[in-house]
Amino acid sequence: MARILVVDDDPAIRQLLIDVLEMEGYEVGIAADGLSAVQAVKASRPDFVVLDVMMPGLDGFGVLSSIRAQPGEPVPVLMRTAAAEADADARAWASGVDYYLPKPFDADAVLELIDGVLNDQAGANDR
Amino acid sequence: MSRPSILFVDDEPSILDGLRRSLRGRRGEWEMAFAAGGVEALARLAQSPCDVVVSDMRMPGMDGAELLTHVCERHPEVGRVVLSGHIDPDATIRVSIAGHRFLTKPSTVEDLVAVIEQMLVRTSAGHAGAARHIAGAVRAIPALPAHTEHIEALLGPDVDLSLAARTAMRDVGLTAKLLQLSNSRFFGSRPRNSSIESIVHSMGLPMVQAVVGAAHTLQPATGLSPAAEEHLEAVWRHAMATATLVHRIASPANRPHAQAAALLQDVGALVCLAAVAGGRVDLTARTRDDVPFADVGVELLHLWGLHPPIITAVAQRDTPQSPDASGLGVAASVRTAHLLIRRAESAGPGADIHDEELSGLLSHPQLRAQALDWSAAADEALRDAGERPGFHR
Repeated sequence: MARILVVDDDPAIRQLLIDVLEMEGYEVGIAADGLSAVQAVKASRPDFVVLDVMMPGLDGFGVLSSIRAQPGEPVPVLMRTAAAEADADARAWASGVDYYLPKPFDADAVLELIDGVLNDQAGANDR
Repeated sequence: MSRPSILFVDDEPSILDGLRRSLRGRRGEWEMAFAAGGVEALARLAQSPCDVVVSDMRMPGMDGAELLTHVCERHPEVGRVVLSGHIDPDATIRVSIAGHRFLTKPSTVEDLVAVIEQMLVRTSAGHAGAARHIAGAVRAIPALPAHTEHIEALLGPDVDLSLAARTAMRDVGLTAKLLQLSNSRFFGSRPRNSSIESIVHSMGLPMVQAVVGAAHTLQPATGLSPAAEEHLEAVWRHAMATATLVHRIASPANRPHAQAAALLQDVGALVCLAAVAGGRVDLTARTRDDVPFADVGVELLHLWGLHPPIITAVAQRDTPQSPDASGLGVAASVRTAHLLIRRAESAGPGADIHDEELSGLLSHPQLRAQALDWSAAADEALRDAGERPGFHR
């Protein structure tokens, strides 16, 4: 089953995403800050990353540029933010996210998007 | 409607017994038959054709590649699956041309069932059987006559991996073949991603050259009418320009699939006009024996087991897209590039260019963020494709 890395400094949101994603059968890894996220992507090459923008220290944009600089297949990244920063979405797209959810946090929307992307990826040829 | 029927071929009775046992749970859904060799398998097929053949490679007398070649010629609509342990390099190359799908032994029952179930699906809504019949007959897709020298150059001594990758990325048939083979460990280590460059690197030059050589020997594009050749050159230029442009449209993780889909968007035309002999072709309606080229192309990519996002994007190229704000994904990226190139080809906005849909797509935040002059980018991509009738930079 696909492995998903959830990156968020808010424990409540992390737990919500873990619950929803594990219920669907995904294997979920977590990172509570930007630096651990960069290390986790490098070490375990997840199939999908759910990345919060606003984090203390290295924020979502910093994480994204670090993981985009890593060699190998670009990992699909969904960036999400609850903040109503005026230019956050333009900045997110310009920095190379694959998917972006600017709305208030909605675990079901995250799940629906991941299902759509990963189920369309699943080839059954000798995997 | 009768149940789908699957024929398993292996010279080792213990393997057939194992398959029989582990697939017992499928007896309700599938009609299963077992043959101890190629001759017996062909005799069975002559009596009652099946939907999918699953064959071992190494068998005394007729081996798997030879059997599947006969199956292709006599019963093109039958799905051809190879299930085999280690095989020698020569056989690997022969089977890369003869088979549709490749599973290594041991494979899990789930993998085998999944592949068979996929091959039972026919993608064309209106022409299921006819599209399968044409697409199933394809073992390799020829290069266009104007491009064969580049393919032949790949077989020479002065080739490196990056030239091989650049050539492959500009050839529809080779791109499709490499994507087909990249899913199986038969043909080298698993590539790091689905970009052609990564596939070529993980396969290694000798394997790529051998596959190119085998495909080219089998299937040079000869006997094309001037009209057909002109049509194919035009769709190739369109595909190349779309692939160049979609690189700027698709997001990083979606880029390899989007570029592959852009290049393969008209693979059906190449199949119908050049890869499978015969048939009554209508270049205006873009049909062969009344089956749309597009249906044949999608069926081929499905049979060959390309990644679903690629197939979906090719299948939806002519379907209006309205992606939500969360991202364009692969299909809408390819559609956007396709419409932009088409507008550039017709030199300006026009009635048939879906202007409204295109302006909606271009105002998507993903594309707005780039603040690019998309018309100029499309002109440039088209110029690049047109200026290089061959495909060396």
